[in-house]
Order: sequence, then structure tokens, then C-alpha cells
Amino acid sequence: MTYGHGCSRRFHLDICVLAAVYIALGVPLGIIVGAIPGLGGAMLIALSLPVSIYVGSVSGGLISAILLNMPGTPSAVMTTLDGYPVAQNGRAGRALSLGITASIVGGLISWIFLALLSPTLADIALKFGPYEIFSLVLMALILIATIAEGTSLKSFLVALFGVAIALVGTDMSSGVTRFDFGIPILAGGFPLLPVLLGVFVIAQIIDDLTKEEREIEVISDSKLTELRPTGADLKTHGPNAVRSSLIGTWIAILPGVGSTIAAIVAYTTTKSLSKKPETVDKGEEARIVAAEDSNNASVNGALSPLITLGIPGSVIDAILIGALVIHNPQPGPLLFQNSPEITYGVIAAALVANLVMMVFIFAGLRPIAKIVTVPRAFLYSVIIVCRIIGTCSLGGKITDVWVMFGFGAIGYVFRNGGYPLGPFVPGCILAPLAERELRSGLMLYDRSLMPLLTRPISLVFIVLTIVLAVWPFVLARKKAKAAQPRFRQNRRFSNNGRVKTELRPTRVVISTGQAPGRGMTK
Amino acid sequence: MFEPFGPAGLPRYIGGILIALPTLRAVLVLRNLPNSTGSTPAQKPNMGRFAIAVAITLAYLFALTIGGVPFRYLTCAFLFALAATLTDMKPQSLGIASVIAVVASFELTYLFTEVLTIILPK
Repeated sequence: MTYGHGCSRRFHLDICVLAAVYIALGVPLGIIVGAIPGLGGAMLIALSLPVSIYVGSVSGGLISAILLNMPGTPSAVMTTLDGYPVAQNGRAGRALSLGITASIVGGLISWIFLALLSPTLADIALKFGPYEIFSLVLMALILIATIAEGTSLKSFLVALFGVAIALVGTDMSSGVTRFDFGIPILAGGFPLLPVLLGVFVIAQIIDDLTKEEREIEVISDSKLTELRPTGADLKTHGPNAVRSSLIGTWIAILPGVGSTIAAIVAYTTTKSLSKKPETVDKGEEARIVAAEDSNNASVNGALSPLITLGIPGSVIDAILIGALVIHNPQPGPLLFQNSPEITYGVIAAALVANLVMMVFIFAGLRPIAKIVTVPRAFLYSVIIVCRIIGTCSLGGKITDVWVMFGFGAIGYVFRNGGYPLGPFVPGCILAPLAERELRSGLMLYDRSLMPLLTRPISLVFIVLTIVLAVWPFVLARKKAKAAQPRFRQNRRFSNNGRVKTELRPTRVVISTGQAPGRGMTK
Repeated sequence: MFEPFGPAGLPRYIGGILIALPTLRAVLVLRNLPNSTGSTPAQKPNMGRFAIAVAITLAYLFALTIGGVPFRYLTCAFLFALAATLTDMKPQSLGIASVIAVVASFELTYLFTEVLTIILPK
């Protein structure tokens, strides 16, 4: 045995023993970090225990999103939109249970793809050029309107505001500063996390502070029932879970797209296909499942291009590449051949992290959920400090904290003006990606937009966008048609010569929506 | 110019739409104003407590920006002031607020600076 072989074996043994310890430590730590708004996975992952903390933090983000309406991580923002309304309706336990189960299912489904199909998927992902990614992002952007809780004009405005905020700063292609109004600080643009934390978390705190304590929605511990999923849930949410997991896995394989976008696309797809659009304001279980399934699936999905091609699927994966490089093996197409123990070690770590996450999060759910019983005076004070520390740690700038509070005020104004905050997120996150890919495409194809329609993958996404955008209208039309036979039955009934006046109130109800009065029947 | 939209084309168009649509919305709101008044009673916010909380938070942020006071002491004072403002000001609540302020500020500072080696505002 050579010295090199000995080192490799010893290193492998160390990895195996330490990995188990790290995963056991990292997952609960990640869950806690994810549950504290402002301390997202991106910050802590730079410090220690990459894979397990990543899995834990993406899952932990749903706890504060559902219980406090404050997403712990950016990828949990979409969970907030439906999770909190479901919790407010007295079903916090149900929302948590569905979210956690979806996270686990998403992680396991994507892990199967990671373990079995990594090289194949990575090869397909390489076929995605700028226009393919642009058409995918365009699909998500166009579907923003379907996230809306309010009127479509208000939603569109909020989405555009998100886009405008994301475009502030220096244009990377030309060096031109945009929307900076001559203010030097704005030349660097707005950092994403402080903006999202401000709009969702600070705005929520401001909203609660302007209410009396008794008016603040407190989800009592007694409402934490239904903490385990049932067999019926599998039947109800199974297809949605599989679809969202596939979306999450696939989107994460594309470089630079990430788990938040995976959640956005899965959420909007589920909403477009939903047969119950009227439950928007009350929260919809299927959309919690979609958001959590996809964001957790994206964790394993992003590992696929990393271990097969050496291409990071997200910023956090770039840090993982650094960790691999430190331990000698070079990430890339030869990693499977040259260092199979490392490759399969990472894959195994992803599976074990998901299983440990399942055990810890279900075991610790009730004590973690006690957070909602802490008086808001104490809870909010500590959350604000945690958020300030989290924001400072990302960029090391106190101006980011001011940005966060500034956007908190903007978010509060939006809330109170009846402007839905949901469309702000996709606008803010997707716009820079869409612009970057569009510019790359224009440069690559000599300023022509035609490849959007001539390249098969982008054409598929364009067609899919049209279908998903039109589908809600088709459903509404179907419903309207389904309501018509009742009207005909009434008419036939009246044509048989019974009472002629019975038809009039029915007609009034259908045409004006008013209840029939005595005067109408005369 | 290497691309047809220009260096700031997209932001310019979005800026234009962002000005046009709220204007349209404002016109619609103004037109419907007589019908919409009194439809839903506005919630009366607790502005006094809110104003004090905002003032405390702004003071804390200014102090962090200017620097000079160590993070843990500043955070301790902020946590106590904010928590006390938001509670009913009874001795028991103030006692809990002070304990939370001391423990949280010192523990958080230790955790983030010593364990996680994050550079906090001076």
C-alpha cells in the first residue's frame, strides 16, 4: 500500500466517523438557525458543517414562516403566504406537519435523483443555454400574477416594484449605474436578504406593534394538533408532492437559480393547477406542500451539477466546492472516477441529513412551536437584534440594517394599503436573473430573440407559460358552464306552466348578484 | 451599443410602467372616492407605544452606526428599553425584560463573536 493510499483511507475513515457527528450536530443547528428570522443558512454555512446545516436550515425556515409570518430563510417566503393563514385559521399543527412532511418527501425524492441520475441530469442541464434559463424565469415571472391575494393591478404593481428594486445599482454588462439618483450607496444595489427580511419580518413586527396585544393573532399551544400526517394526506397531496419535488430538483440543477426560485415556480404551478382558487386568502394546504417540497428538493438537486461537473448550483454549493478542494479532490467530471468515496460520501451525507432532520424536527416540533407563546414584547426585541446581527454578518455593513428597516416601512405601507406582498419576492429575485440571461442570449445570438422560439427547450417553456397562464381562465369558464344547467332546469320548470314569476328572481340573482326583493317579483 | 435594449433599457421601461400604473390607480381611487368612504372602519393603531418603539429602535441604529459603545452594552440597553415599552410596565414584566436583556445581549454577543467569529458593529 502506498503512502497516498493510506492517507486516502485514513481520510475516508475520518470522514465517515466525523460525518455522522457533524450531521447529528448540523441538522438541529440548521433547524434552529432557519427558525430564527434573519439567520439564514447562507451565513452559517460559511462557518461550518455544510451539507447538514443546509438541509436543516432550509427545513427550519418553515417554522417561523408558519407560526410568526416571518420566513426564517428566503426560500421559506412562499411558505409564509399560505402557511400563516392556515395557522391563523387554528390549524398551525396541520400546517407545520404538512410543511415538514413535504420537506422530507422533497428531500428523499430529490436524493433518489441525485444518487441514480446525477450524471444524466447534469448532462441535460448543460444543454440549458441563456435563452432556456431566460424562458424558464420568464415563466415564473409571468405567473407572478397568480400568486396575488388581491386585485391583479395591485399584484402587478408590487411585482414591478420588486423588479425595480432588484435592478438598482451598477449594470454588470456596461458599468452604468441605474436608479441610483446620484447616491453613492445605491450604486452597489440593494442586498437581497435585508430587503426580504424588511418587507416580510420588520413589516410584520410594525404591523403587530400598532395593534393592542390582545389583537395580535397568537396561535396558542392548544391549537397545535394534527402534528402527524395521515394516509389520506398521501393520497391528497402525493401527486403535488412528486411534481413539486421534480420541479425543485430540476430547477436547482440549473446553475445560479437556487431554492427560492424553485419554491416560486412550484408554488405558482400548483396554484395555477389548483381547483380551489377561491381559498387564496385563507391559505391552501397544497401550496404549503409545493413550496416546502421544492425548496428542500432543491438542496439535493443543486448537489448534482456540483459533484458531476464541478458547477455550483447555488452560492452555498460554491462553499461546498471550496470544502472539497481543501480536502484535495477536484470537483468535476472525473470526481466519480478518481474519488468515488468522496462522491458517494456526499450523496450518503445528503440522505442521512434528511433522515436526521426528520427525526429531530418531529421530535422537537412541540418545544420549538412554544415560541409562539412567548410574549411578543420579549420575542420581537430578541428577533430584531438577531436580525440586525444576521444582516450585518452578511455584508459587514450597517447600511444593510438601515435598508432592512426602510423596506420594513415600505412593506408595512403595502400591507395596510391592501397590496399583496407575495408578488414582490419573485419580482425581486427573478428580475436580475432574467436580465442577465437575456443579455447573455442577445450577445450569444447576435441580438436575435428568435432562438427563444426556435430552440426546443425554450419553446417548451414558452408554451408551458402560456398554458399555465391560461389554465385558471379555462377553469373559471368550466365552472361558469357547470353553473348553467341549474338555470336551464329552472327555465324548463317555468316553461311547464307552473309559476311564471319564479324565473325573475333567479335571473336577477345571476345578473346582478343581489338578493331578490319583493319589488322585483312584482 | 452591444445590445438593443441599451445599458439601462429594462429599468427605464419598468420605471415608466411604475409611474404610469399608480397614476392610473390613483385616478381610479379618486373616481370611486365618494362610494368607498365609510365602507370599512379603519383600525385605530396604538400610535403612542408604536412611536416610542420606533424612536428606541432608531436611536439604537444611530448608535450602532456612529459606534463608540460596545455592541453588548448597547444591545442590552436596547432590549430592555424596547421590551419594557411593549409590556404593561408592571414590576414583574420589567424584571423579566431586564433578565432577558442581560442574558440575550451577552449570550448573543458571545455566540456570534467568539463561537461563530462574526464581526459585529463596534
